[in-house]
Amino acid sequence: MNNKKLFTLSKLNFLEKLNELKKEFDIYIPYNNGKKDYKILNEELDINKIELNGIRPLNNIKSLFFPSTKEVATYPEEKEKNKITKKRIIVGIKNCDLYSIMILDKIFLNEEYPEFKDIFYEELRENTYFISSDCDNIKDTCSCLLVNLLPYTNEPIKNCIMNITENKEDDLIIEIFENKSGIEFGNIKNEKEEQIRTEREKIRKKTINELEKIKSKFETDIKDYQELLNKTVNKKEWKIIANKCVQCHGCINGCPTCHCYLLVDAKINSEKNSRYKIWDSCYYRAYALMAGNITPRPDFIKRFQHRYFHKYDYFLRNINLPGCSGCGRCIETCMAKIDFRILFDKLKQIE
Amino acid sequence: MGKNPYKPIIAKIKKIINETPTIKTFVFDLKEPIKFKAGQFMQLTVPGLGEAPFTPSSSPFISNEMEITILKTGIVTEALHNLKEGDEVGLRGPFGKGYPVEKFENKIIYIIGGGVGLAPLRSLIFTLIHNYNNYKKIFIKYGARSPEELCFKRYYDEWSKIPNIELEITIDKPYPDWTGKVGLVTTLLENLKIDKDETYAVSCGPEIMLKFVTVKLLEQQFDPYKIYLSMNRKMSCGMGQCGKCNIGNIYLCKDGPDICFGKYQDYFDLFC
Repeated sequence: MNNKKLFTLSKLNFLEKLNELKKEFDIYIPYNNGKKDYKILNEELDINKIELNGIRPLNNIKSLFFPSTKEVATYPEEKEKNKITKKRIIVGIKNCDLYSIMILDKIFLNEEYPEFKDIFYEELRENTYFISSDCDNIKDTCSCLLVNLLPYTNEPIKNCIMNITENKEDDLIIEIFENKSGIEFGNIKNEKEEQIRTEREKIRKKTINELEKIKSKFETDIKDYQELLNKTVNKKEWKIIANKCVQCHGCINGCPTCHCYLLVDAKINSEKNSRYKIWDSCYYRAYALMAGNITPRPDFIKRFQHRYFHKYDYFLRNINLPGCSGCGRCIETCMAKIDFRILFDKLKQIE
Repeated sequence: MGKNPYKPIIAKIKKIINETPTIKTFVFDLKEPIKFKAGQFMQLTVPGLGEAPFTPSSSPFISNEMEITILKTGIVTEALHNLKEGDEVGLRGPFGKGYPVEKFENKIIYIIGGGVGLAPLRSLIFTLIHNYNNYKKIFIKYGARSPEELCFKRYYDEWSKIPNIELEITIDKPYPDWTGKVGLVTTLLENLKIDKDETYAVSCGPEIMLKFVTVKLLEQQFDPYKIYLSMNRKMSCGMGQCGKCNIGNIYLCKDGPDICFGKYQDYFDLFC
């Protein structure tokens, strides 16, 4: 047992430890097979394709906690629930995705009304640990600095037990946060924490510099967005931008903080009905459609604006945090090349 | 694991009252009592089909039985209208904050309803009647399209007899044998002499009516923070998560649905 908060470990030792842990846990690991995605660690995976560094996988982290379709009730009788038998560890989660889990916690764990807590989300959340990792090799869609986040974990959320920073000698710099998981690492090298910290700062500074270059391409950032929305809501430029959207809903499905859903019932047999919670999208006309064919946002432009207002205005008013982690999935997914950073720069020009 | 907020409890339809050709009141027998405040709403499930939100029309002082008055207007309400006494439905709730009855004490209250909009207001009226001396004056202004569309006719005499209640009814267009007032409900709101600090308004009805009622009240110097509108939107979860009922940053389901106009008057897509 070690009490060190910051130490280095070889990547091989780290992966060996994960291998041991997979009896007890389902271990989700970022795996780059041409396309980076989380895979459950098993013997068939090629160890060389495990990519702890780099940026977040394109796949949406929210689906591991808030699946696109989930049976949430049966009635009249409640079926016995499938209890989670194995806890999970998500390895290599980035700070942007941790931030979005924090946002989902605010929505689904519902501190304001504990009786309305989503017990399914809570169960997955309680039984999942995170080992976060720093970003490097960032893409030009990466926008964490624009929304005031960092490319590494500085404020760990609940159950984020440690962070790893990969350095160039295939060594990992590990920082332990509050760790109640019982997961420990042996084989740590005998180095001074101060020395490791300095080395880690150098690695982190390099990524920050790259992100600063991206940020400098834009005139506006998160501190401007809320005001710009309110000043420009009636400007015709919104229509030009909204008209480019092909309404594929990729940005919404890919967004780790978009959390709208619909409850849908189905008759399974004469004795059983099921209720499902499925992802919904505020870009659909049917999203808020009521009986009598009435909707508060019949025109697409209003639905398009509503989403931006929700992320950069309403979230701030309600929980004092923006509903955007800067992960850049919406930019990467969009076939019409709508980029929120450019959109806000345009709004700045016309305000 | 805690209580599952998505699961409905089963309730049996004890009685169905035909209010108008398109409106029925369903009386539900509750296996477990449901406590609610006037203005809070329930999600009512037609088994296997889906849910829709409704505010009970019965008195909150009765908790082993609940009445919900429903206009046939969409898929779920049509299925509800086809149900018979003895059939079972599902209920979740109550949700929302309900009417701020405590603020109404010693004040003048205008209750303005249109069509089936009198249903949630009836629950409020029952609440106010329970302690009617606590309020300075209660005006009920109610309008419907035609005499046969008027809801809860059996209560009008009873309500009118209460000393500080004044009930006025209108129908949209003249009808043979109708001797009462004719005109939209807003015509009952002309020349109100109000004391801004002492007067509240509560309104429920079609959204277009709410819009014109609000305009009328504001013209007469009503305080926007003392006008409570039932701005009902699509509501799926009822718990401030699913996003469908948003007016700006407000989740009508948890912050309302009867929420003062002042709080959202500046929102750009206010009325449908």
